[in-house]
Amino acid sequence: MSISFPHVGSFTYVMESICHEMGRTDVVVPNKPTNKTKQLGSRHSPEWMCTPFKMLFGSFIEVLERGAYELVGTLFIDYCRLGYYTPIYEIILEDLGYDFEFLHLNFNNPTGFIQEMKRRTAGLTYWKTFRAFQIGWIKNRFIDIADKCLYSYQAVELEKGTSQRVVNRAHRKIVETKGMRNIRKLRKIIPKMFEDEVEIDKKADPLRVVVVGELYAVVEPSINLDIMTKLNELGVISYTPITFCRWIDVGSRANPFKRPSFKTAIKKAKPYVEYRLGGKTQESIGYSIMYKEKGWDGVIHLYPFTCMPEIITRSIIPQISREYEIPILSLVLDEHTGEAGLKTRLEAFIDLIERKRKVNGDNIK
Amino acid sequence: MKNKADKYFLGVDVGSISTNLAVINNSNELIESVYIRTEGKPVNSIQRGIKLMKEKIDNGIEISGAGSTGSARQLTGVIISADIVKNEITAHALASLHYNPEVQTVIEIGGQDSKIIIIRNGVAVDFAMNTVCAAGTGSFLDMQASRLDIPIEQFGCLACKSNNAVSIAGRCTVFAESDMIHKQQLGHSTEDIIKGLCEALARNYLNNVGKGKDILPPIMFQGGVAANEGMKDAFEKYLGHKVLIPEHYDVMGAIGAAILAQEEITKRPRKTKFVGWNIPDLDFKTVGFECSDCSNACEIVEILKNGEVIARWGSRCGKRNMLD
Repeated sequence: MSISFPHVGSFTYVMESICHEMGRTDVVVPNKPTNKTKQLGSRHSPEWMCTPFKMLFGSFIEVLERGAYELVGTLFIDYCRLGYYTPIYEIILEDLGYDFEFLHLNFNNPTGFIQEMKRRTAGLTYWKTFRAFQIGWIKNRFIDIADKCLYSYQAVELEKGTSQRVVNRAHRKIVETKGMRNIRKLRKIIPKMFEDEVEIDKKADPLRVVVVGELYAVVEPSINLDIMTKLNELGVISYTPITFCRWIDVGSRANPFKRPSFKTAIKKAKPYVEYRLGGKTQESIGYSIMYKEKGWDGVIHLYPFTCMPEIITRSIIPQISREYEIPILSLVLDEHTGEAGLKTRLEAFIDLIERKRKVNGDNIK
Repeated sequence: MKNKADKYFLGVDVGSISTNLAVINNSNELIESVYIRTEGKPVNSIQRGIKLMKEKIDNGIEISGAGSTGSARQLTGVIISADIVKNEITAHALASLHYNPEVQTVIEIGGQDSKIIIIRNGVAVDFAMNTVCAAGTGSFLDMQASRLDIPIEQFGCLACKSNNAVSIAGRCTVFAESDMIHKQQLGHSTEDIIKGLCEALARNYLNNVGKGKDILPPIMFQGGVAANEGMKDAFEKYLGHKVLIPEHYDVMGAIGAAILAQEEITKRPRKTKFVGWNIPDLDFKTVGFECSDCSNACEIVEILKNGEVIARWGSRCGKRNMLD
């Protein structure tokens, strides 16, 4: 009875860690989604379903083929279709004749959430189960740090590929570190690894671009055609503030002395969108404004085809762009593999902000 | 016109439908241009284009720098050994600014994509391209022209003869085509249908590509579709401003690429990498194969020049990529 979960960017490592902490040794770690995953997913999905649904579904089928039985799923009341993904997966997988069982993790009901998790552990107590989840959210912070380092160092590295090698080791280290005291030390160890091992071009003055949009589209490189690395290849530092921390980082949300950045972002977005709409509408808008105020050069907004909340964001973005004078590029993502169009848009966008910076710089002189 | 002190720069723009070449001098004046159809074979059309260009200008002319742009810019860059490879948005913006430094909006409709570039104070500040759909681009007009058996060159003139445009849904080419067939079977004249189609496409462009953009005059309209007077009239009707069409609207991308090459060489003086006018005599071949190392099954393309591999790309992991 092996347990598995779909591939969701580097958050996969967090899920892997949680499963290990739950005492499970029979974890089927999903592969990185490939073309085949895309095809599998879209072949069996309703045509007008969101792209993340199709990709995740392909990932589920792949782990089932590799012998998984228990699948991590969520079932909760959300603002868009996301909350109902699991029931639809169940119906389709039953029709396809797979043998499986879904975990129904409900974010609206914390007690039920822990109960469901405990049932799947290797006989852990409630406290130990909670502890496993806690380790997950703490490790998530370090995964975010590792990714942040990767996409900053990669833009200015002298020898191509060094940062990628370092981040692979960093991810592995995060997954394998045991014991809360050792885990907490990672906060210093991870940036140190990059500092020591990656040689950077100290004279470079890279542009900085922040990537916002729908969560899955932002974190999963195989759906966004690895846009973060593509930006790095153009010599631009990329960063995304949109990660899983809003979902699972209960610790920082409960901490009265810390204000999570997404709360600030939501406050900034209030004049434009007053209510939470699902997806990352408020965060996308709020972060665009926040990072402009921090002096970043541009914003890229990613949204999957047929994503309701992000289509709303898309129609508010021109107004934000005008009012705050931020260059924003909206990109729609689907199952297509044509990278040429994406590259043209990215290159043109970077050219545009570069020329703009040059003109502004001349004016100041 | 041709001074000995002048330097010449070549720009090549290879798009989905057309291949354009332009030669400019160092004060950015156009010397000669070539516009031919790509016909699905970019390598071939570059060779043909270079040959035509060679015949048009003096043989002795020496190219000091070459630039490539368009959707096949990477391939073109390798074939002619360009000094600079740039995206078509930058190229178009530069070319329009050269023709009219006051321009604030550039509408460009090509074969497979349509774009809008917003320029303020001589700097491109915003742009948009069509997203998931190719409705309203040149290839659709091309297809409809051949369906109605009208040469594409006369398509626009026909629209001007009509005073009564029929209403056609421009949101989607499939809907537009079935609408057109419906109207034609009802007995509407071809002129009215074509005018209706042009208006539908202009509407679709402004709602889709131009959504949320501040379209201020002077407005420049370029790209292959600018040859279509019906489209120009339709844009003027909906925008309420005069739409300017530059003299060399069809080779603006190539002019932009040549200007980029000129800027690059002036900024970092060096000898050009440009292969020379003998490109048509060289033997180029492309070989494609599917990598089987993982289930991504990337399609790898190899470019061979006289039997020697000069570039290879297409792999997602970067393992097999070999860029010059």
